[in-house]
Order: sequence, then structure tokens, then C-alpha cells
Amino acid sequence: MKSLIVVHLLFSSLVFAGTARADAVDDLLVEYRGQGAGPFNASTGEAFWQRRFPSVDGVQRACTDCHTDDLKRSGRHAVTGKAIEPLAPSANAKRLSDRRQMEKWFKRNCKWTLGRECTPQEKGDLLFFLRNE
Amino acid sequence: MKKTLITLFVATAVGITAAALVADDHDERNESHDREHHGDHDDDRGRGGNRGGGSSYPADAQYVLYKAECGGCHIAYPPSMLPASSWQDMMGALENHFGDNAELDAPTAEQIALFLERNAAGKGLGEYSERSWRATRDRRAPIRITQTDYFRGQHHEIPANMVSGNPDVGSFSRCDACHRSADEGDFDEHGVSIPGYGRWDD
Repeated sequence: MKSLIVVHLLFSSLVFAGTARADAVDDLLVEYRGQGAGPFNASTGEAFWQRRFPSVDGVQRACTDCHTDDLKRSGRHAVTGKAIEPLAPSANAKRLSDRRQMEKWFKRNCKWTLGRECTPQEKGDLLFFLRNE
Repeated sequence: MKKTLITLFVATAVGITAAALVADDHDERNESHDREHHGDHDDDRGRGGNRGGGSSYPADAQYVLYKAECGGCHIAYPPSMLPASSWQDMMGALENHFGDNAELDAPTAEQIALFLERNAAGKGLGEYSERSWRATRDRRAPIRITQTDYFRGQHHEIPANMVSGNPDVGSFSRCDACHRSADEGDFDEHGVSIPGYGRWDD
């Protein structure tokens, strides 16, 4: 009986946690669809993630420069060297759970890496890719 | 020519005040060149026991916001290390923040700007308010802390191979690479341990 309760609690908390994370991502996806984007594709997101872009000052940049090729590992800020916690939700439960944080980092990092803001389509594809990591 | 004269003047001033620096805290031009062993342990009047940016405002909501938003890529530098004019210039150009993009939404940026202005050098709050302000010539400073008169005075003895030539440090901007309690606002010389070299002993 006790183990059944434990299992039930565990299952509920997992579902709840998953729901909480899905809310922030889903909210943003709804917004992007409202802006004319979609359907979204995780493979497209992954390819985008790996791409090198010529940024504003001519420097070639990619998301992986700071976040590394393995999203489950910590990364490092390319200039300051400060540790960046893993981006994969599977390794870091805080990721993809706060809409304001996600929008802030999309804005800053797309501008720095691409030299422009990411389009709603690009952001949607990225979210599709990242949330499965 | 001007540079040589300034260097000569500074060297002479340092030589003359070296013996007197422990007792005399009033000489503005030379303040930045003394080691301030006594200075490292005292704090600005009225703040009893507080250090740097950490313990000075523990319950301040704006500080919490500042640390969260501005401590993500580097340490949350103590506001008292720069005058308000430098902070204003910096907050007005976040899209080009030392080559990076540090844009914030307007309400957040406003709160942080207020916090920085209130706790800037010369405002009487924070560990470095008085010393940094007194060392600032013409009351204007660059926006880069490591280029300020006070900072340069404090670090001029550190050889390049320990910082820029040190793969574990790289830049003076990475305070916490050597100042192991920088995150708590503690930059006391006795807490310094340079990666690969150890404690800094004068």
C-alpha cells in the first residue's frame, strides 16, 4: 500500500513538473503561431542550433560556442568565462520554465549570435528541439 | 611628454607618501597607490561591518534583481566601484555591453538603474564608495571598472603573466578568478589566491 502511494505521488509530481514546464513553452508557441509561424520542427531547430552565423562585428558565432555541443553539460560564456548551467531540461529542471527568462535570452543571444532577433519560426523550431533534450 | 611628466610626478608622490600612508588617508592623488591594509578592514562610515555589494543590502529587492540580471555572465560588480555617470552610460547602451548584448525589458532596466545610481561611488554607501570616488579625477570615470584610477592603483603591481597571460584568469575583469569571495562583495587582499600562483603576499 505504501509503495503504491509513493508511486502515485511520484507519478503525479512528474506529470505536474512536466505540465509546469510545458506551460511556458506552450505559451510562447501559441504566441509565435499567432504571429504566423508554424508548423515547428525539432530537426530544423537542431540544425539552426549548430549553425555558424556571421554576427554584427563580422565574427562567426554559434549557439554552441557558449552552450557547447552537449546540452546536458555546463557551458562557458565566450568572453567572461562564467559557467552556464546546462540548457537541457532533462539535466536542469529550471530550463524552459520561465517565459520572461526565455524571451530575455532569446532576444539577447539571437542578437549577439545572429546579429538580429530570431524570427518566431526560428524560436518555435528551437523550442521544439530544446524541450526534448 | 605629458605622459612622462605624469609618470614622474606619480613616482615622486608615491615615494614621498609611502612612509606616511598608514596614518594619512587624505591625499587624493596618492590614495589609489597605497596598499591600504587598514582600508581593507574598515568600511565607510555608518555601515558598520558591511562589505562590497553583498552584505550591504541583503534585503533590498533591487539588489536581488541586480544580482539576478547582472550576475549571470560575470559577478555582480559592486555599484560603489563606479560613479553614477558611468552606470548611466552603461545602462543606456546595453545592446552593446562591452561587445555583448545585455538588453533588459524597460521596467527591469529602470529598477536596476535606480539601484546603481543610489549606490554608486561617492554616495556614501558600499565598501568602495569613498575610496573610489576620491581617486576619480575630474569626477568622471570610464565605464570599465578595471580602467578606473582606483582599480589601476590597487592592481598595478600584478604582472601580466598572472592575469592576461594566465589561462585560468585571462582578464582583470574576472574578479572572482583571484578574489575567491568576490561574489559576497569581499575583495580583501588576504582573500586573494591567483590560480597557478597562490596567495598574493606583498
